[in-house]
Amino acid sequence: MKMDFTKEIILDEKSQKKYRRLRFGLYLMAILAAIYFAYLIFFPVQFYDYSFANPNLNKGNVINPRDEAGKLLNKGNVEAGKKFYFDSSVIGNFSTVKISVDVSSKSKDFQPFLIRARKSYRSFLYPEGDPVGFRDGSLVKNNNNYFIISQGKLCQFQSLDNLNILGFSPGSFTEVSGEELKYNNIGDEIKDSNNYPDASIFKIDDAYYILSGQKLNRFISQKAFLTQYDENQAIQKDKSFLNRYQLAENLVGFAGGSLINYGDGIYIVSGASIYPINNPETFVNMGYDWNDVIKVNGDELSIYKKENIFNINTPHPDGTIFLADENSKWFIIKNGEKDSLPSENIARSWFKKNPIRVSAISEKYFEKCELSKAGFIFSTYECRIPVDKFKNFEGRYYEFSSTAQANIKLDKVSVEFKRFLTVANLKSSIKDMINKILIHYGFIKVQIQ
Amino acid sequence: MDLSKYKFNSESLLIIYKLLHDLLFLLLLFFGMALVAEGVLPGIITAHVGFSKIVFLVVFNLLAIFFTGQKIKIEISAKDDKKTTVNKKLTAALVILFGLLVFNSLWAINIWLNLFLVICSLATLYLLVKLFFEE
Repeated sequence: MKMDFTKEIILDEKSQKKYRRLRFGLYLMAILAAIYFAYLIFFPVQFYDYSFANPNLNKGNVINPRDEAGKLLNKGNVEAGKKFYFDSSVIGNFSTVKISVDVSSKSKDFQPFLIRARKSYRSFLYPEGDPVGFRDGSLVKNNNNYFIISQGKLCQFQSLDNLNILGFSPGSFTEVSGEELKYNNIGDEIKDSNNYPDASIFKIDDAYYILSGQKLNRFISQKAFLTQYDENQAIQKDKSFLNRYQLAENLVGFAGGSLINYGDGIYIVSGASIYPINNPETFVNMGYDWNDVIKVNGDELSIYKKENIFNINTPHPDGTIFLADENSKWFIIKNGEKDSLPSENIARSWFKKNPIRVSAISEKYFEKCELSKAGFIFSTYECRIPVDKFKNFEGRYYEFSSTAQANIKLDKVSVEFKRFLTVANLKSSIKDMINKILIHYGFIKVQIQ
Repeated sequence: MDLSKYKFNSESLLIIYKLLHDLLFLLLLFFGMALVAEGVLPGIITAHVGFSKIVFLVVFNLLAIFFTGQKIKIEISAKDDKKTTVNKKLTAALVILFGLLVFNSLWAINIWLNLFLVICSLATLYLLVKLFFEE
């Protein structure tokens, strides 16, 4: 090796020999360290834990050990027969996850138990709520009977004349089956040709309004309107119509679950709030489509309250629409529940963009392992689950659950995701890395409307 | 306990001194490569080791070189220091690396503004070197 950074220092022959040997050792160690570092990069390990013994150490931890009601396990205590859960969200394809449980010495009756794991989107694992019907303002018809959904109820127009006098266009009504109409309660028949039912939509000049509580609510923009309704649903009116109804103070924004872009940020709309997405990796891994991002201006953004950052651990907010691939079932996220949308027509009345694709099986597919003692001294029990079996399921959220066989007290729960050293995994890591670089430099086309 | 046998003779200290320079080279090489890797793919290095740790190691190594040098009474005289020629190839490589890192960090902005800011940064660097190292 020719490189010598201290040429001026001449050593005697014996020391020079010694120096060469030591330097060879140093460079060899550096090469080995570089190989190990490359191994860590290409075959990453993700570790999360939660310590009940030292709760102060858990700041920023994501494992969230909780009981059936979703409350944090009180000092790690689990009653016999009760279920408990913990979870983690990881990006990347892993081969296995090791689950470790440190049991307190106070748990005299401890029996090793089964751990079950499933993987999906966090909000897709919410309990299923009641089916939801068409959204307010939807115009539907069935066998020449015309309806508007007003205050959640199915209100039939008394006659076609009545509908025409009010200014609704029969062509804007979507033909639906009688079965689809069952999910909205029956409301009053519309006989009055002078007054509009709630949820009637108007276009006055270039602005769009929806009647709510007999007040006109203006949409912030045409873009916002088109995320919720079709252009032909709006009844054209002139300015004098504004004198007929009181104007509401609040503006109507984008449909729940819409993705909006302002400056460098992309936000998810949920009711009156928006969630800024932390990075493109989260965007892609949470199932969103770049083609669904709508560019907005400052006025459109200003009507929303900015919530905390949306990252890989955050559940999809209210208003998100899921489409289960295997059975083509649609769901909408509402108040911590996953409500079924019984048909595509109903789903499309809620959301005009692409739904989040998800595997229906992911909800019910569990992998299991039984805990066994890890060593002789400490009361640590562990087991491994092959998570590569979940690789075809969308989502990065892993939920672990178990049922205590006796009253137990846990000191610590940890999960460690690992990727096996295989050529296939190396190829997958390199592919992931190239994708990340392309996303980082914007070479993967991001089309924003 | 007789500690005298553990005492280093000056020849051993010279070897340590030389090895510390090699280690410094390796650390700086790693630091430079880590900067480039982190610039291309944010998080790839910092997910495993923070830059503060690498900087700490470099500083620790420099201090070790300084104290070992003092122990074996190695001094760099001002006269020698002035004579030290700057390796032009290395300087050019470092300047290019610096320019690329600045360019990469400003990737999101307009390319012309980016190039303008890179030139400004290089000019600032040149003036600082002039100010501090030239008579």
